[in-house]
Amino acid sequence: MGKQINSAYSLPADHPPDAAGSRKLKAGRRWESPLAGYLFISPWLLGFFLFTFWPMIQSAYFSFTEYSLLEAPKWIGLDNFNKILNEDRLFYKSLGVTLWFVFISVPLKLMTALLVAVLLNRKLRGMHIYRTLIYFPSLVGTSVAIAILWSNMLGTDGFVNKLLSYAGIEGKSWIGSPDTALGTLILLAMWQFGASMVIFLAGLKQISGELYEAASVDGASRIRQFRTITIPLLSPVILFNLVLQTIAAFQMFTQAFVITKGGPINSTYMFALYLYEKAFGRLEMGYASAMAWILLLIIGAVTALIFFSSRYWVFYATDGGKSK
Amino acid sequence: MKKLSRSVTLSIAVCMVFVLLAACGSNNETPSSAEKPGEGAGNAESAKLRIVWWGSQARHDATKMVLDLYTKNNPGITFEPDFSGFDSYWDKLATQSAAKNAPDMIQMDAQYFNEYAARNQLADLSSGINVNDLDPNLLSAGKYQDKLFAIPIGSNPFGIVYNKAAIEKMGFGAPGDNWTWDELFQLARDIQPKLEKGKYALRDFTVDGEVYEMFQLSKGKGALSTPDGKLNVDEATWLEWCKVFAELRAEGVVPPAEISVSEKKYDPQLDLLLNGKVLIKQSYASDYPSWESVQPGVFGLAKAPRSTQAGGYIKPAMYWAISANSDHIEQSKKFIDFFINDKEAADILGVTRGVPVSTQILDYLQPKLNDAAKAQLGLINATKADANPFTVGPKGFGIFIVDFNKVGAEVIFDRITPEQAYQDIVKHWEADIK
Repeated sequence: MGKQINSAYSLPADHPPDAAGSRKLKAGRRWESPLAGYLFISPWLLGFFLFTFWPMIQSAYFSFTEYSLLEAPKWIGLDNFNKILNEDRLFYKSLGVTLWFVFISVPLKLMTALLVAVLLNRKLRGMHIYRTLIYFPSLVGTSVAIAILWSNMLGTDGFVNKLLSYAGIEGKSWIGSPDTALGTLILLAMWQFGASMVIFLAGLKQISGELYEAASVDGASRIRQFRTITIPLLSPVILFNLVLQTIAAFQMFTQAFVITKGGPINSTYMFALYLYEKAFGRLEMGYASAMAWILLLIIGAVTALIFFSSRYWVFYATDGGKSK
Repeated sequence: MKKLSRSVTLSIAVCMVFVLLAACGSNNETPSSAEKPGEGAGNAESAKLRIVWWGSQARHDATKMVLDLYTKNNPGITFEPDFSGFDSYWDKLATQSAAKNAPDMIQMDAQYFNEYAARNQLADLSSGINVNDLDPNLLSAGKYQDKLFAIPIGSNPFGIVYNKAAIEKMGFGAPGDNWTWDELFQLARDIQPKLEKGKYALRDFTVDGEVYEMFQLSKGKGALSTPDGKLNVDEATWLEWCKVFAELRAEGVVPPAEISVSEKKYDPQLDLLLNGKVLIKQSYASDYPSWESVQPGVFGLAKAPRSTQAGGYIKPAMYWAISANSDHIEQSKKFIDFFINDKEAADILGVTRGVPVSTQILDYLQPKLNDAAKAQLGLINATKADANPFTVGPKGFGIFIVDFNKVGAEVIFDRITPEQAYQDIVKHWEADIK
């Protein structure tokens, strides 16, 4: 994630010092050695090496060991991986649950985010207030307190069922039934669309109004404009959000841990939750580390797939209007 | 990706900052717990002792008062307490122990005692703490390979809790000390017609391995594990148990599966006893203050039902242990000695950790006990008469019970038959016990 910020800010420096960027050029001359640049990013670098890179090296080592947390790790080679892939039913179960969650929640969430962004992209009085209000749930949405609130609201006697009963519908325990628990968590994830929404909104603001004017002069309907102008011009932003949300969804933990504890009967037993229970509940840190590396490979593969597919659907206006 | 425009990248950056802030916010506990209690390490007089326990609000309040009392009597000794519910407690303790940063004093449970003692995480307590007034049987549950690593701090019988107010109002008498499982099931069936829709007489015990254990004990088939650490689930008894509850479920005397599995113990909204959805369920004596503090005077405790023999047992409610890596082992021992033997401390603690283990303290407290405490003491005395010996499960037993209960959940959702469930239980045992 930090990488994104990094490349975003270093963009100007990447440009060749041509005549057009004369102001940037001056700024560039003041620091001729790259040292200053590294100094500026040093807080991030420090954080990265201490809290990301080093633990990763450690977990790579642990994944080849039997490590109970309370005793020193013992080297066992590939045994952990072997056991995970060949014997562990729960591994496949939790992976299946997680894949369902990713494939359904991410598109739903992005669609909601885009829809809301389009609605908020109008010129109305007090729009700033609406934007803030609608973004707000994303700030608090992943917190434990909110998760507990949801679990009370969705219980048999919860607020949701009370509302339904006014409409004459008899509710059920939404998180207590294995048929609806995962769906409920997916709906809860949708509620946190704010971050994607803000990025979509910024993307929408970049699209020149002239395009829409020209299109309406030609008699194109709103829906048609959305399909042929908004979506293509927004596609780089969609790609970005898709990658980010997919990675986040694979690591879904809080709601599954707090609201359903992975239950009922493992119907919401997310991969990250299984990993956590292996590591801290069953004190099998080595095994859990191996699981984490497998998850990394899976996320890497899915992300690569998305990037590969992007050449067929992502459109960069700066390429002279040609889709690659 | 390179071609995202500047305002897009800016808003991405802003979102990232929020994500980072959120991440930092949730992590800011870590640095403080990483602080080494180095101060006063060489000084016998002053020390800051870290102490952790799990429990309900009543226990938290009482314990904090005892800590204050000790600090008042022993200037220089201060405490850094940390307390939580049961589940997250063990995750955190394991992490701290891995970092060799475990608290000085640790409240320990029988299910986890072997894990920690076997891995040299606990200090030897054979000397320095006065245990003369403790029941030797109970004390032996704090021993690992004949060395004392943990001091039991409450005796804790397992039994049944019931909504006394509601049941008496319907005209049923309190269960006697010799009641049987059949009488329990019959009582539940008699109560059910008098209940409004959405309420149930009895909890579905198919998902509670510990309650099944009481049933198996009462049939004379022993505990879930043998003393030498072998699996001891009797297949015929298990099938009978599943059948009884399948019938009760069909009759609507126990709740449907989705309600049974969504219970969260002690949560006023989601605990089925506290929210009034069921009238009868299992309870350790030490759980009782948690029911009583939410709805005073409503509940009663009953002895574990019997079949051919008694089903109850008494286990140590919990222990105090000291981390082997502590810099303040002697000071910690002194505090534990105070905790179990001091009358002033006993006045404050009452029965928040089960009935006190010291016979002296118990005699001292007995006349002062309130109704809740008397209920616990009553359960102890009723159970003591014919209690089964308590079996500390082998290493990994705590995990096995969690898996056992998950298998039970699959049974009540009709995903597997009780016969398959038995096979799964055997498989889990092989995987969990090491």
